[in-house]
Amino acid sequence: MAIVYKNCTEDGVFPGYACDPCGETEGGRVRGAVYFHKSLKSALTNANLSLLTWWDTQIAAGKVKIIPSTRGTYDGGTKNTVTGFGDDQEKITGKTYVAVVNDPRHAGNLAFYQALENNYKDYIFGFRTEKELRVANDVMTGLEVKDPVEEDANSVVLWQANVTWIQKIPNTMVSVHILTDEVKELFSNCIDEEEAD
Amino acid sequence: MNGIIDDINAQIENAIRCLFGDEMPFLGFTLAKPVQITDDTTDMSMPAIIDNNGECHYVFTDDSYAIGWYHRLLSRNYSAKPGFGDNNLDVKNDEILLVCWGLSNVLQMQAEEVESKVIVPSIPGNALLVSSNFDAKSVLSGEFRNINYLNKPEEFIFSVKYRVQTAFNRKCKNKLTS
Repeated sequence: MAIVYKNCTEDGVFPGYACDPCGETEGGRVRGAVYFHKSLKSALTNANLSLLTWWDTQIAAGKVKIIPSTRGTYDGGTKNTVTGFGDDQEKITGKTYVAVVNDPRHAGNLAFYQALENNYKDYIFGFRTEKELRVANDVMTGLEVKDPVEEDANSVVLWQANVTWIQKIPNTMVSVHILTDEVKELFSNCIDEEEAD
Repeated sequence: MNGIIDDINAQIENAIRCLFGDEMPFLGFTLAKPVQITDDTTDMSMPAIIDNNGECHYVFTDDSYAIGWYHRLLSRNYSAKPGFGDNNLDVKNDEILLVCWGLSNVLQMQAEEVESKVIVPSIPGNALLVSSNFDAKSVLSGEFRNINYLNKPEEFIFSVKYRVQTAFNRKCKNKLTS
């Protein structure tokens, strides 16, 4: 019998490459942020995340906190390594991710960010770019929120949330979900939670 | 921009009352425009306020008042700065001229003193002061075309140029409703 070597793919099938001849690109900026309660971890599927009714239910239950219209960055992940085995110098055990979310709605949100900072271990971070929603596969490992004040009188005081999380092998990449137009609206507008019931 | 002009006018009125008393007559206007006057023998322009009905109101000197002023939008340009969410913020840069005239014999003050004690302190900190022009002839030639306006010796005329920068959202979305 011929020897077949295993590869690290789901069901042993290497995914195909999607090549778009129109060259449509994804626009940058962390345009909105979301904090999912850890109890929703197994429910963060493409099917649920594309359903406005699912979001409505979770928002009403207080399990999803959306910060719309933000400005921020995401570093794409930095590998965590240990000494390698065999011929490999190093072995990747996972990646550490850092995102910075700037929220211009400073007034009235001290208590919210204090509570989020105190309970970061209970929440999974996600964020929106132009057409995509990225969701971490595990809870945050760190959250530092600050509101620095600059010298320029015309500058805007922002809540700046520095979010950190780790994703371990084999799922070191942050999942990407295509946003439907109606779900995208959640990240562009302030939700009236009383009227949303 | 209109909000800032209203604020400036209110501050100027307060300054006049404070320096000269409540009885000193003043005549302040908001944004004036050059109005063209043409017929077979005439082709000239002068500053005026045009109301929504098309009526023109003269904004320059009036012997019934001791001091008067108006504003004129010289130019507007646009730039952008980083916004939030999907959009960048548009920034509107308005360059505005405040033209002031007054009677030094009634006010007992010259143009430079009125400029430094009344006009400049009334322009808020979020507007950038650009320059002042105390050459009455040069100010008049910028406001009147083909009109030979001769100001009396006791009548001073000067202008103060200032710039107002306003950031705005080009689109304003309504709240999400279920």
